[in-house]
Amino acid sequence: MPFTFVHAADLHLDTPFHGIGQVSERIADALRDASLEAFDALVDLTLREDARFLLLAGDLYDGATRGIRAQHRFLKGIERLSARGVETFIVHGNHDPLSGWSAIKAWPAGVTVFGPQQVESRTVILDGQPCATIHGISYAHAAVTENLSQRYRRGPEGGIQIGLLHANVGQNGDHAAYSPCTLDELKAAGMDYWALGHIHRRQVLARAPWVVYPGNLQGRSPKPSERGAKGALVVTVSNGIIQEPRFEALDRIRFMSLEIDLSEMEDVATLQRALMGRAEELQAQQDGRDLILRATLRGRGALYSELRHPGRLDEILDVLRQEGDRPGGFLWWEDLRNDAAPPLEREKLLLQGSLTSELLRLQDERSADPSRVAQFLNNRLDQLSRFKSLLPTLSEAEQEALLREAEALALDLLEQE
Amino acid sequence: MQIRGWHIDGFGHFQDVQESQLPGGITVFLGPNEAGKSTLLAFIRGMLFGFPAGKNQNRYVPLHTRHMGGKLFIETPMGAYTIQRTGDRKEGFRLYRPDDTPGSESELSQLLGHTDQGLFKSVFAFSLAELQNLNVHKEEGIKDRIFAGSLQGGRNTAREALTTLERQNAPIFKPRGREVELVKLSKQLDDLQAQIQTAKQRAQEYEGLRSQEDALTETLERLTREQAALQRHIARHETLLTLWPRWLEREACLAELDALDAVEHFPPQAEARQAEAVSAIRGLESTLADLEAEHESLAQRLGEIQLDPTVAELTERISTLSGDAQRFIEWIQGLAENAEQRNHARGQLEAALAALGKAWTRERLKSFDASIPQLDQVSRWETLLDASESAMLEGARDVKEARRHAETASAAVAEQRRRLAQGEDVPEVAAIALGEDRLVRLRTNLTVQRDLQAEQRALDEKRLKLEIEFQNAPSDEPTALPQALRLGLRIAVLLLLAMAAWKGVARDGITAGVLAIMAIASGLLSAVKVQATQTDPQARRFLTEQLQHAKAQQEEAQAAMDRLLASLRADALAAALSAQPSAAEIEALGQKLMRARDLAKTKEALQQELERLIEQEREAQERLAQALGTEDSQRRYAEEVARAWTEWRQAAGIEEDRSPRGAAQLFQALITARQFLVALEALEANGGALHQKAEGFRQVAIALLADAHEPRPETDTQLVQGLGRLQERQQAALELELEHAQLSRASVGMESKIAIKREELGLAQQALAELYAEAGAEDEAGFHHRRAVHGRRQELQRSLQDIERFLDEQLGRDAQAQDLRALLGAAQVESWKVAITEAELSQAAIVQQRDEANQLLGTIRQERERLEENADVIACEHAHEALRDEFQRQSRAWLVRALAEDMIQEALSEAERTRQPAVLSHASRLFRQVTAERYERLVQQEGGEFQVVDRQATRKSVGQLSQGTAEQLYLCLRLGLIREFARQSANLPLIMDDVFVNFDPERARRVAELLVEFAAEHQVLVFTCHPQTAELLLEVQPTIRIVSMPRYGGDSAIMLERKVAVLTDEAGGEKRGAV
Repeated sequence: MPFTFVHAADLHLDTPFHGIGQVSERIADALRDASLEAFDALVDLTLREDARFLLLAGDLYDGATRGIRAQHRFLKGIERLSARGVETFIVHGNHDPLSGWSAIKAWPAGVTVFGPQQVESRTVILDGQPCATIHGISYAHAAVTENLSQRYRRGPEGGIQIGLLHANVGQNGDHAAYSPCTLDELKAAGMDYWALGHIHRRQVLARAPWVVYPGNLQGRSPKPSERGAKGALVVTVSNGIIQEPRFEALDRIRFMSLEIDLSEMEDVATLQRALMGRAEELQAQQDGRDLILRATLRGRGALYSELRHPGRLDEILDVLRQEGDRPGGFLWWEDLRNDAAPPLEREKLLLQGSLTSELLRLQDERSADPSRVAQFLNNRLDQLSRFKSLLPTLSEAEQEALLREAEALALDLLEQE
Repeated sequence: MQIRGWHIDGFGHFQDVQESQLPGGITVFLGPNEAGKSTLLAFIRGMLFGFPAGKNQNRYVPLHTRHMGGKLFIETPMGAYTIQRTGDRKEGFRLYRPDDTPGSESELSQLLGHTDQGLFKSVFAFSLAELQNLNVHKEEGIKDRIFAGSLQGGRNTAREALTTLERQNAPIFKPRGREVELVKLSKQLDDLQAQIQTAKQRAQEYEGLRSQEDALTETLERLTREQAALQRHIARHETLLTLWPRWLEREACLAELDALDAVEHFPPQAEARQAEAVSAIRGLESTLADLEAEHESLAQRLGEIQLDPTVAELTERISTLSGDAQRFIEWIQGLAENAEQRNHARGQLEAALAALGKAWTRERLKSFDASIPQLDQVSRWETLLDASESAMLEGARDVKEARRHAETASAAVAEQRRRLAQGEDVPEVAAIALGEDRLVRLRTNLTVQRDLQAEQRALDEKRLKLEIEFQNAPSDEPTALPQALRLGLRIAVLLLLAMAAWKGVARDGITAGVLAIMAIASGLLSAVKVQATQTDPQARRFLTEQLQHAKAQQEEAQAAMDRLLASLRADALAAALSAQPSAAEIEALGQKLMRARDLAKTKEALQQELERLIEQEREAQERLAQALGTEDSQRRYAEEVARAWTEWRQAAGIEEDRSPRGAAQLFQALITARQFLVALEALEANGGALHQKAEGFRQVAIALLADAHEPRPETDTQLVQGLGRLQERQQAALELELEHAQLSRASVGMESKIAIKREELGLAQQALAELYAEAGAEDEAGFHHRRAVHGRRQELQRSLQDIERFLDEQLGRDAQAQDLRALLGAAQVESWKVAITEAELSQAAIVQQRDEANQLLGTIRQERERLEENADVIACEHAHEALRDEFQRQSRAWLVRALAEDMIQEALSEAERTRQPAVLSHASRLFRQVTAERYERLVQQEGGEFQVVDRQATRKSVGQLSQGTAEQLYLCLRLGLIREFARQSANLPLIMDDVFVNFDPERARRVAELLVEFAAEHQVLVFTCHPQTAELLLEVQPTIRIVSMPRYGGDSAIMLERKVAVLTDEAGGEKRGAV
């Protein structure tokens, strides 16, 4: 008897978005409710697909304190599933360990929250026969560094065997190394399907057995791993064979990026038109979703200098935002970055024997020595020390980028007409 | 860059001052005080950087012109530029490039190595007072422009870049700034963090709310149970109280039944039947009495009625005459009106007959034919007579008009003939035409004659030239003619030509004369040179041929001239002119011919007009004859029409004196009179008929009145009144008769009804007696007693049944019902009421507790649900994140700008560090030279102060030096700076205003030597009022240029210059100063 289940993870319900800056009240309201609406859409999808069960692989909430609103909304959704006989299997991850506070006193029928002590197993019955057995374990606390995958073993039950786990497979550098494990270790457990959570970028790590991250349900920042369509996987099992998981986008607001080549642009108006044109093209492909866009300007052209004028990019951004904040689906320009190359020839400037040459020479000397770079930066960062908690820690690459930007600005001011 | 000169349109006391030849080396501007040296320095500065604004500008407002400004000519490696400025700071600037295209101020700035006015004043163009005012370390322009060098292609200095960065960063963050953006954002973030904490704390109340909610729910359930029990208790006792009155009713019913008589049976509907019978008897008795009274009344009335037998016999006749009485009245009235109308009609007729004439009677009026066809015929006669008369009158008018036209035309012809006869004699047109042809030929021939004369002169000249060339040409026959003969021929030719020249002057003006004279000169020249000329036989032959050809042409021309003169002469004689007529004669002939032509034209016009008038006269005569004919025929026609009319009138019987219009009027009057006659006859006939009808009626009526015993009427009015009375008598008799008949019929019917009613009454009384017997009563009272007892018993039994049914419904039939019946039987009513009161008190207390609990539960539940839906935390977190993003964006932007600032500052410091020593080194060398090695070198302290080091390595600050030495030090420093600036950027001129004043002669000479050396690479302009300064510089460098400036700019403010050669030749400064 074929059946279907849905696999989702990293819901991070009711958590703030990062790196978007100040937005209009309407957009702020949409951002606030986006994660909850995405979860509602997940419930709708599960019911629409007539799924037998729903797998949630951790990080339902963003913090151990777990907002009441999030828990309440989650419970309402689960109750809807339960009322329709859909079972739900939950493990908690590093963001929502079991040690966190729960406002939910009792779960409706058909909900399994796996405990933290040991891997537990639950068998799902379909037409009187076991169709699947789900093995799972929750994080007792946030920082679980144990390789939990090693505790999973295939059981004797009939039907497919699913490992539900919140873990970092293959030491993904973009995410914390909680419950670290390797693909081979997962394969060794004898599962048919590893329903993973923790990594926000959707990926299929293996097909035999299936080792799958569905990605998070709703993008939360302009970071590359948060961009693009976000949602859940619909998995069909037919004759005991797991079919290719089908992705269903459930996000309400989508983070996207685009690049524009400045080379052929003559004026700001042309640039604005090009940006709006590309953005609308992009939005038309997102099923009417609200978009948060980051645009990066590339190429080498005359417009570069114009855009380097203080406040000019902000002016363009203001115009774009006003146009994008329209009734219906909004289009919010998160940032407009000028990564275009200046038309100036750095090598020529270096050799012309001017103050600019001196500046570039000193900068080159400094760049060769990271300690001097840090010292140069710290002279200024020290002045901002009172705001330390609000400032990000700068990596070496970010420090270099800052200096490159400062150098470009100095060159603009000294050399550009 | 060098200053080549200027043109001052107006600046201070300078007006229209020009200088354009300044050399590249040293130029001394020598002038006394108030000569304008400082003004000139200000002019140069102003031209380069703009004139001062405001009060400072007033200082240099031109004294003699309104146009402030001028031009400055500069020489650069790219070529010569011209700077033009006026007093208008915004619009007054112009820069012209070497190719005369306009340039911009930024271009000028580039030519000046981006030097600004401050730097130029500090380093390049200074006065004695400004000499010591130089702080190399603190002067930002010196740092930027000299030490840091020029910027490549940019428009901003490093200082401007730094200012821009500082300006942009200042509102974002300053280390001690309180109102800067980052501090504001940080505070806002703290506030938001506090709001998040508050919101989270509120969320922690959730657990407590849930516990309270559970406890309250339990309490509510208990209270609900207790309240239900009490409610049941109250309901039981309330039931007893509710049933108690009915229970009492039940007991009363049972007691009354026991007390009543036992009347178990009573006839059905006995009461209704008894009432119906009694009512019927009473109704019949009443009706019978009414009928008997009415019968009595009828009998009495019948006895009273008395009938009229006479009227009864005359009834038919009275009715007939009464119907015609109204018509009789109308006939009488119609007869009166008819008489009046007849009188009126008769009067009208008689008046109409009188108007027609005495001969007209009723009979003639009736017999005369005044029909419409006859009347139409009269109208046609009238039209015909009018038309013939009008035609005759019109013909007479036409004749009169035609006669007047004919007379006018004849007079015009006579007048025109008179005018034609008075005109002067005019030649024939053919003769005039011949004369005009001749005139054309004369004019043409005269022109051709002039052309032929010109051609002849040309041929003469040509032949003369050929003759001369022939005379000069080498002869192939050297001995053919002796030299003396050839000479003689030439002289003869010359004489001939001389004559020709004289003739040419006389005949054709100066040109021919000049040519002839030239020929004479040429001939004489050839004659003089003839002996020395070599001959060429071939050329001579060619010349001979040319000469012969020329002669032939001359002969042809002469023949043509002869023919022309012959023709001219013939025409002149024919025109009565002289044989050789002049142009004036010919033109006079032309005038004469023109006048003759005009006269001929005038005469021809008059003749044509006469012919036209004769034609008009002929036409007028024709029209007169035609009009006379027409008039005659119309008169005859009119007479014929009049005759025909007379015949017709006589036949119609119309009087002779009547015209057709009069006849028509007669016809109209006859028609009117006839209408009056017809009307009168109709009235007479109507009156007769009315009289006949009235008389007939009157006779019959009088007979009827007599038969009815009415008095005989004397008038028609009495007759009508008598008939009226008779008609009333007949109406009264008819009414009495009718009433009598009706009363008789009613009396008979009444007697029958009375008999029937008496029988019905007997039957009703019998039925009532039978009913009483059936009810067991003897009379009506007994009947009613037995009916009341039976009804009460039935009522009580029904009440008992209702009460029992009600009790069963309320109590049921179970054991509890039996208990309740027992309780009701016990009748402890007061104890039941006490029990209810007590239970209600308990229940109220429970309800209050439950309401309070419910209210509290609602509040708690609401609070819990609010927390469940509350988005305060996430909203604040979103806002916090957004603000933190903004903070990071702003701090990053600040950091980038701050780092850029540090980079530029770092580069500036590095440039200063590496380039300043070169300037100091050069200045040290110059200073050592000026002080004759009294001082070895210059050093700069940490704070920027300068010190000098002497040969003993002793250091002195600038303050410790004498004023002159300090000034020499600063001059050397400037020379070093200018040299470095030239190396880095632009070679600008040095301009000094009397800086030698405090130098001793020895040092002054060394400074002069330094300047001469410096001037090898830089232009130097020295302003001084001291002639010795100029002399000193001249001694050191004799080729320098001195420009002398008179006091107050001189009369014309023109500066004069003097070369050194002049100065050296002439002795004494007096003369120099006086130049």
